[in-house]
Amino acid sequence: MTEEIVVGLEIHVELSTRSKLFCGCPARFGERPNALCCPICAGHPGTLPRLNRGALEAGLRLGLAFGGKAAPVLQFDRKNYFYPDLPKGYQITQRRMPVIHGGFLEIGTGEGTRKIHIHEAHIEEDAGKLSHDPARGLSLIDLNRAGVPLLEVVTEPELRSGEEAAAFARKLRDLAVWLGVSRGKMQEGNLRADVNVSLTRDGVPGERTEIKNVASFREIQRAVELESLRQHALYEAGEPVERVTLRYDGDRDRLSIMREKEEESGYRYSPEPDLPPVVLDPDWVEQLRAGLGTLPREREREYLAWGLEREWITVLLADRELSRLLDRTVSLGAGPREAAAWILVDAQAIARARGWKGSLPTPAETFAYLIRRVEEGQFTRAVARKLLEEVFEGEDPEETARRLGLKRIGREEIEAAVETVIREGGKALQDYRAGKEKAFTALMGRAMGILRGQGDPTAVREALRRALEK
Amino acid sequence: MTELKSRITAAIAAAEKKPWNAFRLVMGESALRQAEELEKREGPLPLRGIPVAVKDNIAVAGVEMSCGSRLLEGYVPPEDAEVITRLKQAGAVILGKTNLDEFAMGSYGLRSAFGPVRNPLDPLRCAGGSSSGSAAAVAGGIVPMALGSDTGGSVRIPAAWCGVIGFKPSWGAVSRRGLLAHASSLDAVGLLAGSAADCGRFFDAVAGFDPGDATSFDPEPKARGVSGLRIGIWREQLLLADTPAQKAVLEAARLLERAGARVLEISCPAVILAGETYVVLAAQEAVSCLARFDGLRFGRGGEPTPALRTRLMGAEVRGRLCLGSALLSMEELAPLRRGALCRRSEIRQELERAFREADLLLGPTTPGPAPLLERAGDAGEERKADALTVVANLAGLPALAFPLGEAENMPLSVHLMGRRGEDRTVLRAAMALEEGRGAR
Ligand SMILES: [Zn+2]
Repeated sequence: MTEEIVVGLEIHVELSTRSKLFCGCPARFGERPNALCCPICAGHPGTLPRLNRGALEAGLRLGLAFGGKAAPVLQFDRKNYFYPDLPKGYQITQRRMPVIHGGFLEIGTGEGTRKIHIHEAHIEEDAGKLSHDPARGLSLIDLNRAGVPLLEVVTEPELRSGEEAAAFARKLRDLAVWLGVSRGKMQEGNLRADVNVSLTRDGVPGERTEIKNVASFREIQRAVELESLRQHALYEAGEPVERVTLRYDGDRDRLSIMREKEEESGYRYSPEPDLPPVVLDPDWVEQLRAGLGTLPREREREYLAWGLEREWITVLLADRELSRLLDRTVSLGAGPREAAAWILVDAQAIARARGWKGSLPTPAETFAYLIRRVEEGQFTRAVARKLLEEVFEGEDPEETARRLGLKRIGREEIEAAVETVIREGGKALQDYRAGKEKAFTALMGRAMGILRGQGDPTAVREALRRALEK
Repeated sequence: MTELKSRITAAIAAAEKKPWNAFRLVMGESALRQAEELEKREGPLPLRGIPVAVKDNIAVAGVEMSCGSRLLEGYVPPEDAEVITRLKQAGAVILGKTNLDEFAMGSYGLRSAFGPVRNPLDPLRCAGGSSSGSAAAVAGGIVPMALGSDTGGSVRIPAAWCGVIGFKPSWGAVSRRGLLAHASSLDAVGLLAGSAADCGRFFDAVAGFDPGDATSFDPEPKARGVSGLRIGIWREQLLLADTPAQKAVLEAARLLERAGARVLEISCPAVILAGETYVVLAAQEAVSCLARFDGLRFGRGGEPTPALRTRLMGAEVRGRLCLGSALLSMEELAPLRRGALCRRSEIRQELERAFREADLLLGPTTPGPAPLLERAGDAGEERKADALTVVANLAGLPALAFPLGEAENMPLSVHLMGRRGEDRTVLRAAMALEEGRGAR
């Protein structure tokens, strides 16, 4: 018996536009409930949707970035269903003609990278949020999220494990963040997935189930793992797998059945007459494509060629600011590996120690300066590191170095220091002269002490050897 | 008291008697305040001081909008509809909200939760619906102009039976923002007026592109002259009418010919299926347009949705929603659904061909005059009342009901339909009819 897990994802990416999809309300997170709604997103009778071009642009950019094709015509449909958090009694979505067709993302698997194809992606509005207050016996509706634009990305069922599903979701999140079209904050629900799972046994495809509204990468992985085990157990027991909708409870790491036997016509679709079809100007789409800049997969190739560590590349591709900072530092003449180490290890450590939030405040020029000085042998790495702590928030490194006396240590100063060590003599010198090589370290330490640790160790070592051989 | 204020005071007094059950709500205080403000506004205003009645499915900020339904009773919209904003800018005074068939579903004017509207010309007859209160208010002389809405004939049918002018503009020529949707792809804000000239001024004040309605556009600014205009008498529509209504159509043709138009005969057989097509499409759209009235948000509400809807919705509305839901969700009904869409595009194509030969299509608005109330019990008959009018909604064309001819001592009406965007040509032809009728 061969058994294969088959997973397809429907991922809702919240697009980070200034306003909602069909009204002027700000699309923000964390406001007082119902502070961000108006007659349109509250569904008052007589109100009409007005398409936000920024949201369309954001959705298109993400779709084009994963290699999808833009539809020739933009048109919308209504998905009709009753739910208290859905103000109009229908959700405006795209059923007949999704704005994006096709595309793919590459994920790393045990056997190298694999292309996961995307079936389509469509723009739709989010619903509000329902919460329950059992103490007061109330259900409360918050419409701040109602009407926030989403791009729903639907993959082909080409994922083979929970790990792969999570990897795909992460890839998509990173791309959206890279492009600046989504904040990609999982804890704010910026990315939510419906996970479809089935088992193919001896080449025979089985019934598919859906786990709704999974909100983190880990949960996506666990949901697939648990559901494939559940289905496996059913097959082994000779019971049928029914087409059900499930929910994953992250706290208890458990699946529960939400709805039995879902039928497609449970959702009734109809065209949206309030938004007439609009021809998408191919020139405009081309402009958007051209404006995408370097994409993560191209960047990844370059970073590998630069010899960067795998973990570094993962971090860089998830954070376009960092990646830009690195590129700029390299373009100022720094070696890529040195630059990456300074930015991703040293600067990040300082940021962590200080509890710094947001992007690094240090400009590329500072990193380039530090690397140059170390390479020229003017600073030790330790000194440069000390200097970075002082100029982390963007201060002028040259001036700060001068102020702190971290000045250039020249050949004369090194030779003077070496001369002093030899003149002072002492036991270490005697030991060395007596052939004890180990004593060299002590002499070296003394010279570095005189130079207050700022001399280039290589230069000091060479100067000391020369002086001792005389 | 100034002339303007006394005119408004008189209109308020007349409306407050609630004749024919035409008004649901009279905005006396705010109308007087508007009149006072108007006196301070300088310069010419196209509708200065004209009292206008508003069908109670069009939003006026701060004024209850119940749409003829108990389900929506107590709902107060927060914003003016775009047409209300434009009317106020033009100097009109909003006098009150008029009664209508519940959720604008009905052709007789008998289906309001707040009681039927009577015909001002004969209280034993239907006023027609669903803009029944607006038509009665104009016919009864309380206001010279009133706003209605027209999804399948809801402005033109009551206009025909009350003997006034009813105009359904091209789909999109007047913003729908603030009109409670019944079936968005068919809905239009409609105008009722006592004269064609008034109707033209009314249209100029409210028509045109509104950035808040993505389906709106600017109609042709210029009308085609009547001289040389090709008027097509629509054979199939004529055959569906009674003899007096047929005569009225021929009379209209004669009047237009006298004004310089050329009359010819046109055949568009697909329109015979327009009624059925409309029922299928409108019911489906109504399901989603009315879905928000679940009792949770608008109106008084307060109990689980199905029970509330059953208790507070009239039979006609419930019937249409059931039909629409079945059409949307049952696989067995998919052919009906697809068939209706096909026929809609067939009808459009056929009309497009007709409009290559003629500039306007002429026919009867309704087969006969307003039915007697005692004969108005049959819902099947009621649904047939819009057989001649729905085609304009299906194709999004401008259409006007003009009172001409008589039967059973009641007015008859002829129907003029033009190309999409040529609203002003339709209105110009109505003015020619008015002049011709006066000269007779
Ligand atoms: Zn809003």
